[in-house]
Amino acid sequence: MDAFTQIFGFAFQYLDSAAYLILAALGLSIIFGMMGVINMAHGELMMIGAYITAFCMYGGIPAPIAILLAGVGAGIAGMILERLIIRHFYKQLLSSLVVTWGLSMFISQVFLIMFGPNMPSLPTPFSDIKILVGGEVGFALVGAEGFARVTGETGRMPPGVESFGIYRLVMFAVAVLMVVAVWLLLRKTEFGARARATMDNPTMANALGISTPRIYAYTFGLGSALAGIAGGLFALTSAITPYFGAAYTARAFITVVVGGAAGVINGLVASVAALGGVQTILSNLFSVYIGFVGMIAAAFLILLVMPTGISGYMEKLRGRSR
Amino acid sequence: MTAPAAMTAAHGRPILEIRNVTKDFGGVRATDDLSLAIAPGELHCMIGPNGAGKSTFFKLLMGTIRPTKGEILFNGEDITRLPPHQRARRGLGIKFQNMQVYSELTVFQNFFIPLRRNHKPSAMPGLVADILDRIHLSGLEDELVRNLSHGQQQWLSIGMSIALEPKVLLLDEPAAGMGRDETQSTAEIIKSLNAEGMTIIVIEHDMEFIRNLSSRTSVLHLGALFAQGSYEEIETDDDVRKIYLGKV
Amino acid sequence: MTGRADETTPVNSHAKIPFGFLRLVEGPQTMGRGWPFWTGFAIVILLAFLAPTYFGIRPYRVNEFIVSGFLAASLSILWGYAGILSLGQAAFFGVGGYVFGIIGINLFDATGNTHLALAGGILAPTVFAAFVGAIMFFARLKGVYIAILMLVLSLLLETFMLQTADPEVYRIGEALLGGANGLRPASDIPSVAFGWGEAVAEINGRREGFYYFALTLLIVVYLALRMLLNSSFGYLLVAVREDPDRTETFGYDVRLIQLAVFCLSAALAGLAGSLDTARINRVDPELVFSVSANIMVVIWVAVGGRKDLTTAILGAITLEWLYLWLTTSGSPEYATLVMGGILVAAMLIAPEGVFVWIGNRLGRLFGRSRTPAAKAGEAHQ
Repeated sequence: MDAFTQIFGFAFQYLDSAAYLILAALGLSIIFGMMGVINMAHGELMMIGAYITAFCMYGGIPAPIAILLAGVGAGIAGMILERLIIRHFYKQLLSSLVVTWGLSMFISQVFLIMFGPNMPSLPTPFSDIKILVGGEVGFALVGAEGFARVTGETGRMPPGVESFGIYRLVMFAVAVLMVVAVWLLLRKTEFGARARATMDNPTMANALGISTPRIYAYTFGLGSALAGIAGGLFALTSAITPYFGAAYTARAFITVVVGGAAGVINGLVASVAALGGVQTILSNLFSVYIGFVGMIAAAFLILLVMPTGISGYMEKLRGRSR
Repeated sequence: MTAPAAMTAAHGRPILEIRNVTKDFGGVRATDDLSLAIAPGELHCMIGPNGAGKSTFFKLLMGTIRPTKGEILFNGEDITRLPPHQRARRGLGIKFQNMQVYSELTVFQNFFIPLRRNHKPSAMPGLVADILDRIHLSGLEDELVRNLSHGQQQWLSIGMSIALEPKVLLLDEPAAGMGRDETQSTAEIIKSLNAEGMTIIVIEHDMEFIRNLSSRTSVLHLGALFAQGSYEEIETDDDVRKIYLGKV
Repeated sequence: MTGRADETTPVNSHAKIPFGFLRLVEGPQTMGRGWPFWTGFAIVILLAFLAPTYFGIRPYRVNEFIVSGFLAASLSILWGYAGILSLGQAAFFGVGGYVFGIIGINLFDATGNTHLALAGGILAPTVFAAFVGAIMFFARLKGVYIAILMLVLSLLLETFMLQTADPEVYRIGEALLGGANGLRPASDIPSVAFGWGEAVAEINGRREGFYYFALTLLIVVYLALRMLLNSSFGYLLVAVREDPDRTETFGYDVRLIQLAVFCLSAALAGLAGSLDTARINRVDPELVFSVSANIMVVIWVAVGGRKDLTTAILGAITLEWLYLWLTTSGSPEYATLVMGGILVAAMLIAPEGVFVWIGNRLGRLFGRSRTPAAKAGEAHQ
């Protein structure tokens, strides 16, 4: 494989890894950073999003709309959970962790009982379009015909040529868009200002006329909706099972904690960049397993040096007293 | 303005010495080249407007934060690098501004922790009763601390610090949130402790309280030592009044 | 901590010190004191010992519960008393199990007993905890970060052990780590066996022998822990939990205290792991290291009552029993569903723990039965 192919493959993997981490962790990060709650049922909200997407698409609704509906559905589910259960555990990190874990068990089992162990899988969009890199092809974006031409009679890729599906890049683009959108929402809108005020100082915010229960509900709903959208996006690439989200919860959790609560977006981006990078490098050099282990070890090491996460450390450096 | 005078300890070596201590938090200089010497058995007050760096000073003394520059000596020993628990073992006691009591335990159980350093559990009932008498909390051994009034909890916290039998006691706002009578009692507690030979440094806002103590006083302003002298000298100093913006 | 003066007033008084043995195992850190409690305790123990013979309880089912008692105790002292939530107790459980198995496979034929295996099963997790704990506590890690780090550690161990199938690389003496299939040869993993030479008592994990042995051991450990928790060390744990900074100003090195309780907790979890491996003569990664293994301990202790040793252990045994009943009578999906639901309900309704709630009610019941004269007399102390 020539250098360009390797670099491209590497970059692709990195963006892919980053996309998954960002999408999985964005909702969790908002909830953790702004409400002091560890939502272990986050994976189940993703799962709800995946199932909604699936049902919509079985019924013929196109993917983008299905995913948006998944976000709405998961958001509503999240708000219900928040009003009924979660609100009793704000700022109690450990208790919220435990109770949401119970919720996670409960929800996933309900879906298992109602819908069985798995659902018919969904087709990955844009699967006809591929990026081909390396060998005599160089670099090309091809459709189904072009792909057939390259593989020729053998049906196999010529030596030195790698193919990459573009859906992953689409996911990355969506992830970036979502991060920017959330950032804008928090920084530039009135809702964002109220939300941040409430999170900083609920009593004060209350005194200023902000309805804190409503802010909490909406913020949790936002985090859940983001989880639902992530679930919808992932549903197009993997098997849809009740334990769909559980695989992501632990990694999202780690990413969020390493990012730290002090800067919801900044911390997350930094954390994803670092951990995603470590995972990509190591899984390329060694194996997927080592990549995973290395990412975990990196998380461990970062937390040792920066006990309150990356954003907490940055804030400490800047000398703000908290 | 009273020039900060280098302390020539009347009784020999100072028990606590702060030498050119500076503390920066990023761009903010919380403590500015502060030098101070406290004689054994002295009662010393630290005053200054809000943000003058008084609590930071105590945190530096206790080791909760480390200075950017300078040294702190306790009984001649350089304790600048020591963590808080080591300083406590050497005889430095503190009651921080947020008074810190174990609110879910009883009064007696609160005393267990500091007393256990030097005494066996069997000796405790008597010792606790003694301390409670001194801090106006007699007979409240089995009361749950969160049921105590704010003033009582302050006294409890002071009592817990005393229970450690420190050589130097740092009290950050011991009369905070207290009414007139309670403030008076607190001043008396401090004076009687000092009369027995305990070196005490007090941070306070309440001028009545400081006047009551009438001791050597240091004025902090913007992290630096602004003035120092007897309370009467400080009280009548125009520059000190100015930094308090007209307030007394 | 249940030092509530407003509840059963005089017994909690600093001035009243019970006699002899009770003096050691009673105190403000543990619920249950005085004749009502210890009588009830004795009755329960008696019933438990009679259960296999007279109540038809099958040991091979019940033996698992006893082991969970040790695990619950380990998390209770760490989380309930010292305030350190670890989501990775299974890590120590698993390490203990594996080490027991490895030493057992290698040495059982030679020695005929499992003394060293048990010792290793307890020591290895302790040393491991000392290492990890030193790093964490001296880096001043707190709260959720410790919790997640321990979970991560457990997952790392699981992932690692799952890929140790290669018999060339992953063998220690005669023991093959075995990857996903678990430690092999499984037939060589011994049951608990004490003695030397001819006089060896081997305790089969599926029979009554194990039941009596484990139950006795649990009682001994329980009483020993009660003594520890009611000593000065117990006070320190609670002080570190409630306000570590304040405790530091009294001259205590909080990090060392945290490290000590962390290691003790790991030792208990390792003991549990060793016993469990000996019980079923098997240990594999998914069984001992998985996320669900970790969360179950947390559920037992959260629902039972983490801040008290007795309630935590009772919670574990009860919930294990419930889970078993559900999986055998209904279906496994419903069992997990119900467990999740119970956890949520318990956290909402009885956040201190269901058994703590029950214990408080019982305490009030017995407190009220004191004669007025006794109360008046004690008030004068």
